[in-house]
Amino acid sequence: VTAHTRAIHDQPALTVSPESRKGRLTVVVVLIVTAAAVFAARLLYIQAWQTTYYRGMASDEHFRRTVVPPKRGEIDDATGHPLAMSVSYRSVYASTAEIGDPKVTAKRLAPVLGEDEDSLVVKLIAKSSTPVLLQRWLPDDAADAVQKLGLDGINLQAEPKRVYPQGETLDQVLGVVGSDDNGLSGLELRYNTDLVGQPGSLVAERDSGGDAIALGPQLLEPAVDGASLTLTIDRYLQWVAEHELDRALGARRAKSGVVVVLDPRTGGILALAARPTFHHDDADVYTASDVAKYPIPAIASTADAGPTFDVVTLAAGLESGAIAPGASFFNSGSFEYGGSTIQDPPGGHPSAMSMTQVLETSDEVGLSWIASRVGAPKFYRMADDLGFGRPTEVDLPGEMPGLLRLSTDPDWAISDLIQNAFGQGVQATPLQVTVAVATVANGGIRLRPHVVARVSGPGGERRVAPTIDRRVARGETMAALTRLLVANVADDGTGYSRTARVPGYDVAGVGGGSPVSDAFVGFGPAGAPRVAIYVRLDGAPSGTSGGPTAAAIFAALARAAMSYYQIPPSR
Amino acid sequence: LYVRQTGDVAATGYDVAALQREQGDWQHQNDELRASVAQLESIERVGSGAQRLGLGPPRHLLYVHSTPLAAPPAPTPATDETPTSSSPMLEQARRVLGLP
Repeated sequence: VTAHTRAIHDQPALTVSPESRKGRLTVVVVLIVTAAAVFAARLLYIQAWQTTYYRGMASDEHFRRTVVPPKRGEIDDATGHPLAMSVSYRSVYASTAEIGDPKVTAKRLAPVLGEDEDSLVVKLIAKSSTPVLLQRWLPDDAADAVQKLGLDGINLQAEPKRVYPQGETLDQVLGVVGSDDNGLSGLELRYNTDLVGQPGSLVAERDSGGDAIALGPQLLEPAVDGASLTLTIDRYLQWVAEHELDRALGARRAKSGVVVVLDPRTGGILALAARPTFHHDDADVYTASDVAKYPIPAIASTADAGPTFDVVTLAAGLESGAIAPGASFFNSGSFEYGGSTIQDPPGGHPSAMSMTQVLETSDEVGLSWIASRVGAPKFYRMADDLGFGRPTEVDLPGEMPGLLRLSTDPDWAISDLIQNAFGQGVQATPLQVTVAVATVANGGIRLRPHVVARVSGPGGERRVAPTIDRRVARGETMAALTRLLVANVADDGTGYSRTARVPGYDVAGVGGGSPVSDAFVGFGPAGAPRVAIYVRLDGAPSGTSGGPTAAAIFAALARAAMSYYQIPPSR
Repeated sequence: LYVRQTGDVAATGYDVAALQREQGDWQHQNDELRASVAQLESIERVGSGAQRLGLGPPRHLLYVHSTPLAAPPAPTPATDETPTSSSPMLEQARRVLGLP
């Protein structure tokens, strides 16, 4: 170490020349000035060029945009009674990250929510970045109690709930609204654009709690509430239809049934009932079993038109002049046409039959004979004009077109004509059959059926006027057919349709069926029709002998309608 | 003055916010009451209530055909004289009530 120290001391002393010192100072000054210039330039860039950007960032801190939800429109019946409306209730959510002790929170919250403490703990323990729904749509007293608890991480949020004040009625037609307040089925889906409204927004300065400062600067774009619908459906007739259908299904142990009531003068649907159905009060209307029941059977389910198609055959016969109302024909018990033979059940043949008798018994030989005289082109034109094989374009979602093979279709065979004559091979929805019979009632003018009469919103009112689809036949033809249909119900025969009689009134109709299923369609009063009614029951056990249930429901409904509309009896 | 004004504005702001919340509450209550009224007016409820009272659909309906009465005469200015004639409806009412 001593030798090393000596070596250092022996070295000559270091000296810095004044020039060198000055040079170093210059470098330092240049560095400082350069740094200052860079900072100044950056400052200038931020303050002058990027003013808008940084002002925006600051503004985002102070101002916040919130969506102002619109109120979903109401659905009322024809008499103005609400069928579906939205009421805002508070739901309780948990921001789990803000909850200190989940067990304590659950213990205090459980009695208020009426929930099991352990299941609440499970929900609160799960750390989620989004709020966890604890209970939706609390009653007011429970929501107030939750608010009073003032628990950290437990928040209340107002959410609209769809309520149905008339109870379990018209469920399929009204449809379902999803948790995002958009329609999923029925009218809620079909008229969603009208009902849902337009959300608004509020940009406002917020306080430390995140609430808008009332007198602070704010920009409000108000929400536009959804429009309300007024239906043509009358809650009383709907109730009677559902009531009668339930009673008949119970008595006959049938699996399903449909009732359609329509005003033939306007095309407005007065009642649409179907079983089975879901109910809005079900525990969860979004389960697969309920979703399967969303479609409206009156427009979405098709069945063989059967005896109700007799109306088409007779209308074609009368309009084409192939038959006269008072005509009769000789029924030998069978009829051959186009290589195919139609045979009546044994008994009662050979005999002369009037057109009324053909209708009363829905005689297959007689109807085939009429169709053969009309000829395929005119027969199918009438069926097409009356609306078979195409959607009625009713304002409901999910309508099926049914099935009608026209004589111009490649898969049509000449034997189809005489089988279609009594409704075999023709698939139709209940609404299609009702519209066809309503056209007869309306003197041959087919009107488009509709469920919504009026859409009233902030932008004004839109009324649905009766729309004429087409003139199907001459008024005289339909008057003659009406007389036949009235005789079909009124005559003291043993026909199926006599059960549809309404004391004091002339009603027109036709129907038939088997012990397993039956259908009836008609209208009344025959002179000045106010209602056209279709009833169909399916799936009764084959051993039962329920009789003409559909005709009996028709009679009950027609009687109720006459009384409701205060139509005095004609005899 | 500035401090006082600022305080007043803040206080009024809170009042406005409270009133807005109150308005929302009233709106909610109004909606709820409308739903309750509609529920109470529902056919199902009214029907079962009527049944409990022993009421039911009428067994017989009677329609009375009425001929509309002649249009009443045009109103005339009141005079001091005692009216010598009255309307047919008034006459009918007098007869029913047994008045002179």
